This record gives sequence, C-alpha cells and structure tokens, in this order.
Amino acid sequence: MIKLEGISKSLGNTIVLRDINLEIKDNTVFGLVGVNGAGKSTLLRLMAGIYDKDNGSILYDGKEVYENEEVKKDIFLISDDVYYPLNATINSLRAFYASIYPLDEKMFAKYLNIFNLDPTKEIRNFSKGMKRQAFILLALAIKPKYLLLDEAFDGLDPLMRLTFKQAISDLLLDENITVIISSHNLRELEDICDSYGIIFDHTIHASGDIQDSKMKICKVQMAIANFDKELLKPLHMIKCSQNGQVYNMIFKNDKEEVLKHLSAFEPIFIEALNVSFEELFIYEMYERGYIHEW
Amino acid sequence: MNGSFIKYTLGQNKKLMILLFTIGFVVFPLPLLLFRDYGQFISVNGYAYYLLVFLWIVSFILPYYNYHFVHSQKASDTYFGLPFTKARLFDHIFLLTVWEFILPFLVNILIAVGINGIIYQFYGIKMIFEVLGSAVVLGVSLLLFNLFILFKTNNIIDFIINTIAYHCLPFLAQMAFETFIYKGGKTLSYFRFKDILSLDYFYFNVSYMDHKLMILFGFVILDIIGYWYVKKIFTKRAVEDANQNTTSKAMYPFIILSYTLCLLILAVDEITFSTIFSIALIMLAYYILSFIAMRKIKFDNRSFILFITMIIVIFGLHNIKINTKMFGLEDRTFKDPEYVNFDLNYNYYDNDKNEYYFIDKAEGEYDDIYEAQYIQMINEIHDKLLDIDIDSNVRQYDNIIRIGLNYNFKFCNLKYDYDIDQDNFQKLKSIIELLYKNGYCLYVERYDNDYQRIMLSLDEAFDLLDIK
Repeated sequence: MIKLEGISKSLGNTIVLRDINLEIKDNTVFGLVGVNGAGKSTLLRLMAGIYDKDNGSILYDGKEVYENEEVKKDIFLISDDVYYPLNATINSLRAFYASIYPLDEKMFAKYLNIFNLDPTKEIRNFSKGMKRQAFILLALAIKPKYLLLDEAFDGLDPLMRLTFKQAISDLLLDENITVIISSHNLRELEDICDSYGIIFDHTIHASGDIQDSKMKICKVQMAIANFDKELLKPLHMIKCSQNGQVYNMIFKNDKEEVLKHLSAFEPIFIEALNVSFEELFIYEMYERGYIHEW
Repeated sequence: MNGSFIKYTLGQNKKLMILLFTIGFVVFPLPLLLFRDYGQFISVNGYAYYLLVFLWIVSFILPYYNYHFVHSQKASDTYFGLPFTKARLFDHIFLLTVWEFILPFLVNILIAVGINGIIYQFYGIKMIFEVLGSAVVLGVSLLLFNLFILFKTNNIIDFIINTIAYHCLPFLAQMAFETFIYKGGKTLSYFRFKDILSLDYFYFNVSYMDHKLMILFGFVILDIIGYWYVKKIFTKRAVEDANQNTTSKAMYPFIILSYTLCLLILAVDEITFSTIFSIALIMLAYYILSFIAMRKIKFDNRSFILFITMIIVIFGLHNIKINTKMFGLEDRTFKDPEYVNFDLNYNYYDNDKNEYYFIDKAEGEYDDIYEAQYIQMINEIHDKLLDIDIDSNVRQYDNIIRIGLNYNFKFCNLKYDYDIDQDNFQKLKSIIELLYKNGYCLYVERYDNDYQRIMLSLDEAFDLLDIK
C-alpha cells in the first residue's frame, strides 16, 4: 500500500503541493486528476523518489521511498516528456534498463510485436505516440510493482489506448501491480481506474473509489408544471438549470434520497441519469469555484 | 557497485572515448612521429604543456557528458528515478568518468612509449609512472573542480560561463594584485596567486617543482577531500533545480564580485577623467554580467551600493598602501628567503667616445643564489638603499643604474626595483664599494680601432660615474 501523509512541496518560492494525504491500495489503478499546473507531475516525481518532499512522508508498505533503493527498485515512472539519449534505440534502452531492473524478455517480445515498433530505429525519429509506446513497452517488460504514468494516454491513438488499457488489466490479473495514472483524459481513466484523487489548489480535495463517488452524485432530469426551488433546501444541490418545464439538477446526495424527495412534488416526468467520471470531476471543480459555468 | 550498469554505460560512451583517444593522440604521440623530437618525450617536462591541453579539454567534456542529467528535467526523471541512492549514483558515474579519463590517456602513453622504443630504442618506464601518476592525480583534481561548477550551476550556459570565468580568475587576480601594489609605489611585490589558485597554471609548473612527490601526495589528499565535498554537493542538490537559473552564491555572485573588483583595481587609482570613464565601463560590464546571471535587467539599490562600496574600498586601500609604504614591506629586508635574485643593470653607451659601460660579475666568478653569504650581501645592499633617500623621479633615462632585489619564498615573491639616475649616483658610493668587494666590477667596451674590453678599478669606476 502507498501512503502519503502531510506531503508538502515548494519549487523555489512557489507552493506546489500542500498537506497531501492519500492512500492507494495494492493491485489497483489510481487516477490522479487535476487542472493544468495543479501539481500532478510533481506529486508523481515525489512518489517515484525523484524529488525530496519538504514535509510529510511517502510510504510504500511502510517504507519511505526517498533515497531508498529497496523501495525504488519496485517503482517505474514514465514521465510526461520521456528522456532517451540522443542515438538511443529501443534495443539500447532495453539494455540500459536491463542493467538495472529484471526485464521479462518474453513480455518485451510480445509487446514489441503488438506495438509494431522497430527496435533498431533511433527513438528520436519516432512520433510522440511511438516514443510513449516504446516506454510503455519497457515498463510492461519490467513489470514493476508500482507503475507511475504521467499523462499516460498523451499521444496514443485510440487503438493503442485500448491495447495499453488491456495490457494494464492483464498485468493486474497476473502480477501484483499497482498503477498510478495522471491524465486529463477522464473518459479513458474511468475505464481503467478503481480509485481517484483530485488535486486542486495544491492539495487533494477529493479522493476515493470511483464507483462510490459516482453514487454520491445524483443527476436528475425532471419535468414539472410548477415548482418552488426553495423546497429543495434539505438536499445538497450543486446545480439546477431550467428549460421550459424541464429541470436538470445535480445533487450531492444519494440517488434514492433525491428521487424520494422530488417525487413528493408529483412531477410529470422524473429520471435519474448516469454520472460519468468526467462529470464528477467537473462538479467537484464547480463546487470549489474553479469553473463558473458549463 | 552495479557492474552491468557501468558496463552498459561504458559501451554507450564508446564513441566519446574514441574521440578522447583521438584528441590525446593528436596532442602527444603524433608529434613524436611527425617531428621526431623524442627529447620532448623522455622527460615529464616536455609533456607538461601537451598534458595541459589534453587534460583541460577532457576535464571539461567528461563531467558534462556523464553528469549532464543534473541540468535536464527529463534526464533527471530517468537518472534520479533509478533504484540508486544519490550517493551511489554519483559513485557509479564518477568511477566511469575517471576510467574514461584514464583509458584513452593510458593507451596514448603506451603508444608514445612504443614509438620511443621502436624508433629511438628508449623505453621510458619511469616516464609512464611520472606522467600517468601526475596526470591521474592532477586530472582528477581538475575533474572534481569542474564537477563542483557543474553541480553548482543549473544549466549548460551557466556551466560554460562559470567554468571559463573560474579558470581565468586566478590570472586576472594576479594581474590586478600586481597592478595594485605597483601603482604609486617604487617597489613591486607580489604573491603567486596563479600557483595557489589555478590548477591550470599548476600543470605548467608541476614538473619543474621541487618536492614533486610531496606536492602530488598533497594533491591526492586534496582529491580525497574534493571527492567527498563534490559528492556532498551532488547528494544535497535539489533535482528540481535542473534547467533553472543558477542561484548559488559561489557562481555568478562570486564571479561578478571578483571580476568587478579586479577590473576596478586595474582601472582605479586616482580620480581623473579616464578613471571615471573606466569606472562607467566597468559598471556597464557589471550590469551586463548581472543580467546574464539573472536573465533580467534589474537596477536595484543593493547592487549599486555594492558597486560604489567596492570603489571606495579600492580608493581606501590604495591610499593606505601609499601612506604605509606598501604596508611596511617597502621598508624592510628579509633574512630567511629560500633564495634571492639580484639584478644589477647598468648599460650606458657614450656616443662621443664610442664606449659602452656595464656592470657585471668579474670573469670566472659566479653567484650562488642559495648561499647565506650571497643573501647577506643582498640584504646589505638593500639596507643601504633603504638608508639613502633616492628620488624616485628618474630624469635621465639614458644613464641609470637599475637595481632589482628579489626575495623568493615558497609561494610568494617580494621584488624591489630601484632606478637611480645620474644625479643620484653619488648616493651609491658605499653600494658600489660593496659590489666591488663581492666580485662585481664596471666594464668599458671600446669600439675605436681595435675592440677592447677593460675592467675598471674601483677608483676608475668612481671617476667614470662622477662619484667623489
């Protein structure tokens, strides 16, 4: 299990992260979301033991990660902007990582074939997506216990995104792997993540199981002739928009509770709609005043 | 140690090692083949100059090549994300760097020895140990010094600027110091900053130094301390500083302060129009350097006050120096220097008589500069020069006696120059007597008809110099 307690980090005079508290269970996929510049990459670097934190602790099964070789050998980070030496090829990178991590050659061959990459071609001549594929390929062959992916789906085409998600699922089944993914692509994250954390205003403002959190948000479409919004006060309404007699409402309440309360007004029509992870994120941002309208 | 990581990285750096080998080959075994002057290669002395070029290039390229990741955010993520502690990462790459430094060098030395053996039948085993031993010890010092700059800077431009600035600083400091003590005084006294501060200069001289082994042993100790210190900087360095502005006080602030101070010392002595103009130029340079350091123009009060303070300090020191006669050094002699040099210069050509006069040691007599008796003679001359009031304003430049007294200590020279013109010859009577007693005499060379070289007696010398 990964446990972050009271993590703070400043870069120069700028506070990037403040009092981050988080728990990530083993053998799960954790999605880290936040607006641009929220500190997702910094948090991943802290979790990979690259940066030293100003305060707090980052524990992997109770062991501090920073300057700890024993813990770091189980972690592999794919940065937002991957690094490779000037003339590096996939083969030379494989040799580099094989000199440090145990590398599964069968897995390497399997995904090299799936990704259809030339292992002898210089990586600098690859497209952005191919570069990312090359590093994903290496990560899959290394099979680290903790795989950290910064902007995981950036540059990948839909087919590759699907392949990658399938590969992650396979690893979750076969190996005891924990994946932490930061991405703007919330639709992709929703497919693969078990839990999430939203970074806003330098700290984690919401976290938890995706399904549980979605259950706590209720989106309702209701048609009613006459209706006084004041009567909704007992509920925690996030937003309400009206189009003629049709109301679209979002509540931070249990679905049953909302439907029970609204049915009392005898609407012409009432329906609870599914909430996506993207909507969940938007509601959280809206509630915190980061966005004013959508 | 992770052998596979080192092996892999060595393999990756093959091209670099070939390049270093080629530079090394061009620098020393090749001239041996081309110019066939093996005399340059049988002694470590001949190598010193070639070594300097080679070592400087290598000690600059290698640290950056192997530790470049500290200046790149992307590369930092990879290298600092590896399962190594920072100290272990440093050790691995340092070992690699030293090896890459030695190997091309060793191969070239062996080629040079081979050439010597085949062509000249000379097998320089001693040379191998001398050259390789000193090069490794001194080269590692230079590597560590450049690593210190690399880890204190945050991007390649700052690394290049600060490296060049640091290596040139001892020479500028030397020039400024000599200028400072020379201005307005009749003596020139100087410390050898270059020997103490500049590793580059040290390479030029190490092979000529006495107690070479002891000096090299000193450098081994320095290397060990340097290794510990540089490793500490590396481990304490914040990874997130990569590719940011350099903020270390040991880099731009120190360099700007030192260079501005040296330039002001060179330009400032008394208030004249040219001095004010020079100060204005230096101030401009000061702000340009500050701009390079901060990447923004900032005219803050603090830097202006610092600049003005430096000018005031230099004016103050200059006046103190004049009023204290070079802090008392101008008025004293030294009984225990390592050795002394005495430079007596009198060269006068009388056009009317077609005669040339000069002072020299009598034929067959030589000075032993280490001998106590000789040091005593110098001190006596110096005492007499200090006793008499010699007007430092020389009026007749064509007929002057120039006396230079040079006391040599381990890392310091104190040099006293006296120029005495014809009007003041009378005051030198006792000194000339002392010189004659110690085997010096005045010669006349006559060019009329047959060439004649005549050694004059003391009385004849007094007559000629118009001393009563």
